[in-house]
Amino acid sequence: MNLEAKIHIKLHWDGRRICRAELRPRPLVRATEVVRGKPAGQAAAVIPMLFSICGKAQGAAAAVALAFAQGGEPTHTAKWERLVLAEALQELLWRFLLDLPKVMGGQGNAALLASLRKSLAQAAAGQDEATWQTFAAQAETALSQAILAMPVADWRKLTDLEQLSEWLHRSDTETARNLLELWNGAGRWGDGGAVLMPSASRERILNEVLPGLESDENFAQRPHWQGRVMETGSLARMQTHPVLVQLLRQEGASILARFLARLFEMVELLDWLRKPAAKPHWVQGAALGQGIGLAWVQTARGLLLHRAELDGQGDVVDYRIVAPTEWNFHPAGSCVKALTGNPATSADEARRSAELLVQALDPCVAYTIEVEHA
Amino acid sequence: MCMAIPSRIVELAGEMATVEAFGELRSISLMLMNDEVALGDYVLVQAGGFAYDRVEHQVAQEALLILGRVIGLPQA
Repeated sequence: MNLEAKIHIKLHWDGRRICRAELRPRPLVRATEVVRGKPAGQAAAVIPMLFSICGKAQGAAAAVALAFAQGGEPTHTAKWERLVLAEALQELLWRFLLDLPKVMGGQGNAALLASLRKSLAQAAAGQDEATWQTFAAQAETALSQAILAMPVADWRKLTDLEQLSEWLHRSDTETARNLLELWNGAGRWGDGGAVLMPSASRERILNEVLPGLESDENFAQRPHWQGRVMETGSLARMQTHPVLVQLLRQEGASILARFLARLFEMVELLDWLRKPAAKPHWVQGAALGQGIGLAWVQTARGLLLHRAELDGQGDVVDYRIVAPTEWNFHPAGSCVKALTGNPATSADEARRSAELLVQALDPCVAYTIEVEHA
Repeated sequence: MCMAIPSRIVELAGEMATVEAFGELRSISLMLMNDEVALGDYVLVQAGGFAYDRVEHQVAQEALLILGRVIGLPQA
């Protein structure tokens, strides 16, 4: 078994269009196999060590779920929240500085991303206000100069598609050029009909998500919201932004909408990093009963769930993790449905359109795409 | 899920390296690394092939031991 197993997408192409798409989810290592029998404290250390992609979010979720399972209240949630927000901002910058350029045939800016990662590592290690503000200032400079080509304050004033179009046509950054290509047609598709996940309030998580997590043994691999396939991530969280409201009304959850949502969200993340909210809202959890704790944490890719169950001695008897990639790459989700019927005049075009959609949905693992001539 | 297996550097060539984990070799980029790395160090690698973190030997070996148990490798 390959532990870093890939998502596999198979396209059936008939010479004119993708007539069918299939998605085989990555095989999952069950978290419970890794930590069963370990004391809660040890499990809290092991989980982020092993599930280290979005490691800050995994660490936060483990700390919160296990604290509630132990009958207590999680400590340091404000510290965790800031780490999770910073990690998400870094991940979103990664999409624009490396991943989108790569899929669009450009160069990207790995040196700038490396410099931002160094600054974030210093802030995370120091945990003092000055280093956090330094990281936020550096991230804002990167955003305004390398991505937006305008001050962040001006970007915040962008509220309709006409202004967006003006920005796309006059800005000369690699991101703006890539987004203009998406605007001109390459990214005006991609709605697979999956519902955008509503905000993860305590009531919704406990009443509408938890029952599935607790009763459906396949939930971690094929999660659902009361039976419905959902899309999570920046577009779901930012779906009420005025520009995205207009775009969603016009063309649904397109590739362009997904990338734009990340740009709008990065500005929000910067604000929260500079001045954290009084009450954490990206790192949350609840006690579910004797020995059971739940955490729901937002990441760049979307909702992350951890459910921990301890025995009377405080050792783990069950541990479940549901990652955002499983929501967004559900075999009956947006990816498969959006690809089905998509026109493609060559096998290569079919493959490239699938690659673009996959990048827009942003899996945390590698993927393969196979094209079969139907 | 969301796993990055600690991978041992077996060859270094500027900003590129070859790493090994559970007998599999792959070529990776070191451009995003914050720390200097040397032959024999363990790193975590993101889906795109960029190493993003160095892991202490003891932590890496502990992680590999747990993961080896999960995939049913013989234990020393």
